[in-house]
Amino acid sequence: MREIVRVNMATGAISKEPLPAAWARYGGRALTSALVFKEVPADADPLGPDNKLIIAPGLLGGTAAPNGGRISIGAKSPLTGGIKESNSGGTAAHALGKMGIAAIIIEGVPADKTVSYVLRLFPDGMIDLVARHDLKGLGTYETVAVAKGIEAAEHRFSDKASFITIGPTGEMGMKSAGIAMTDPHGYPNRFAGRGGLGAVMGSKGLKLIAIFEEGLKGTEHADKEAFTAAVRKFANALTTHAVTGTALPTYGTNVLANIINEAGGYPTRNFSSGQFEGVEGISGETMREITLERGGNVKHGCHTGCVIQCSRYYVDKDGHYMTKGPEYESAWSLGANCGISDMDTVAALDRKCGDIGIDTIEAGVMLGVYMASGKIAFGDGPAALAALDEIGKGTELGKILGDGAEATGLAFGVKNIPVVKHQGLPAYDPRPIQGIGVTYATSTMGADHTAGYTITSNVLAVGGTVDPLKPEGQAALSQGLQIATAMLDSLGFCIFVAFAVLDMPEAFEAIHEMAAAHTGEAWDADALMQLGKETLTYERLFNEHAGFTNADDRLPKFFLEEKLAPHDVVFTVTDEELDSVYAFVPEVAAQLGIK
Amino acid sequence: MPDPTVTVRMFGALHTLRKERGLSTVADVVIPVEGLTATDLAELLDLPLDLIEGVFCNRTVYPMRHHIAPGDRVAFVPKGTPGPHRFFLGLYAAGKEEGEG
Repeated sequence: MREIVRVNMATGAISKEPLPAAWARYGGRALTSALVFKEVPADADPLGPDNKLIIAPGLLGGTAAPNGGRISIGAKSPLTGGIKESNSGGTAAHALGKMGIAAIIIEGVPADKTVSYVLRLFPDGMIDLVARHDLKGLGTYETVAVAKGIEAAEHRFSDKASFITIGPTGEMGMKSAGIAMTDPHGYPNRFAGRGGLGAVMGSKGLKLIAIFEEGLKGTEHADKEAFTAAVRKFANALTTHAVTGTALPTYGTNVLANIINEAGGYPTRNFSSGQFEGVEGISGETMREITLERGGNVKHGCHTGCVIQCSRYYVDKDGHYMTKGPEYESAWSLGANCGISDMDTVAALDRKCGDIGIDTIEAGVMLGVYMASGKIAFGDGPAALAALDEIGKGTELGKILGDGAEATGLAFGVKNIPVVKHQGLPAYDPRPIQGIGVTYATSTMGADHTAGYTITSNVLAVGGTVDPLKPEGQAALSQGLQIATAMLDSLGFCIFVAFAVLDMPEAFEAIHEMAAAHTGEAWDADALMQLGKETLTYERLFNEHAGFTNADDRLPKFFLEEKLAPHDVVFTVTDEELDSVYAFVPEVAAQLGIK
Repeated sequence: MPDPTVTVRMFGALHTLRKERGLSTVADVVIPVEGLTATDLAELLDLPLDLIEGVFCNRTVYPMRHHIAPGDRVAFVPKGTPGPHRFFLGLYAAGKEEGEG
């Protein structure tokens, strides 16, 4: 039986309770969203005592499920004002899963704001909360280094420790603050970045969560033999498919830069153009060449159990680690969107974001807006770094910039602010790629590319036949994408697995075979998609209770009015089509008995 | 008479292949005035067809049987593009059409 760990930061009380039977199929995003729906008042102050930070491994967390070690973190978002689930790699999910923990709920706020708290979970089941005075204001890298030193001195630290932490921006309550997870090599470079969840963790006075899994045995399965067979089938599919077996491990996600640029959908200089003349300098192909020349690592997993291995480390000219190899969205936001075409500059910006603990997408969108205001120039890397320094120091300017793109645009009178539900748009312009625009507009998360990242077209009978420049079919495609993504997030899978699932029926079979063999319950394709629908229903209803209406499911007007070169198109999907994406919610809500 | 050249870009594994051959990843190629298919163009550049999923012609994705005309801007995309863009841009459909055709 999986358990929920409840930590009250006001009283210091820590308790365990069984996962409700009705939620036995829930993990990851399904569980964080169901818990936020049930326990957080929709009108709660996101940084107040009534909000709760919820951390959950996927349903298959702690098992050997390939690429099944992602973690979900949920709360009411200080950035969007709605529900948030932010998803990350790292090693924490696997460790929590092995401990039998379905979720950690952090609730309440401490009376003493001068103290930083560390929550520690030990392999014998003991959990404690320790007050510390030496972690306040530290960056994520230094926090983890200090924590490792302390725990090593107490003979508790080993390579089997996972850390979850925030930087100073989270402590200062900034709306672009994220939460960092240590990767398999102990670097705090994997982020639940979006939506300001780092500020929620900071509001709880919680600086660090340390999870020690030394000596823990693997998770039990209802049918071990069947689970092992399904794992083999799934791993074989992932390692032989062109996307997951070759392209991603070779170039990483940033292989997309040249492709999206060629499609005319690579937002450049605050979404004023769809092509960037400097794309080659920040492309995945160039990053790979630079990294190999300098002796850096170009292939490893970002989380426990990853067999795709699309992560890399970016190193400086002397071969020293700087940061993770910037993902496509980070290289875009801190590169093309700022008119910056130098990979070393992008990597320095990425490292700075990671250390002060802010979301690289929101940071890059903010910088693009700030540059559009004329306060600093497009292409000025040192000025961009200085702006991030202001955020890390919490200066008057830094507090504005640290609250993200919308706050910055409003403060400096910028006309075109690319946000939906107050969250910055990621790395795909919705005018020449209309389908992603539907997802940006309607996602429960605010503008989010991962909300509709992938699909199993053989299950949903959609995908691949729409014209990217025209509105027809985009709403149905986006709906299928969003449901499938919510399902994968709930199981704890990396969203990249579905590329193999799309082309290889045995890969999709392997997913419900793993779920069935692990839980002992019946799982099939319909059950998987129902999981996705239920997750989105909790999220949609929470947002409705928080005051969101269909009017919030819209792109900023400039995407509908200003043509984007080189295709010279605007976003043309109608409001009626956008409003059709969540048509399934009333029926699923009735099934769940919620409203 | 139109300029009989096309500009061709090569991404991902094709980018690496060109570098390994000591060649530029952007090539100006002289083609017949009546044009040719993307498949013929790829063969002209000695690109392995089994690595290619689709072709951009003037920034729109097509299957490899698409006709390329002088003056076009062309880019070959290898198999393995991640993200929903494989669907949103039509790369998945282009690849499937090739596979079935």
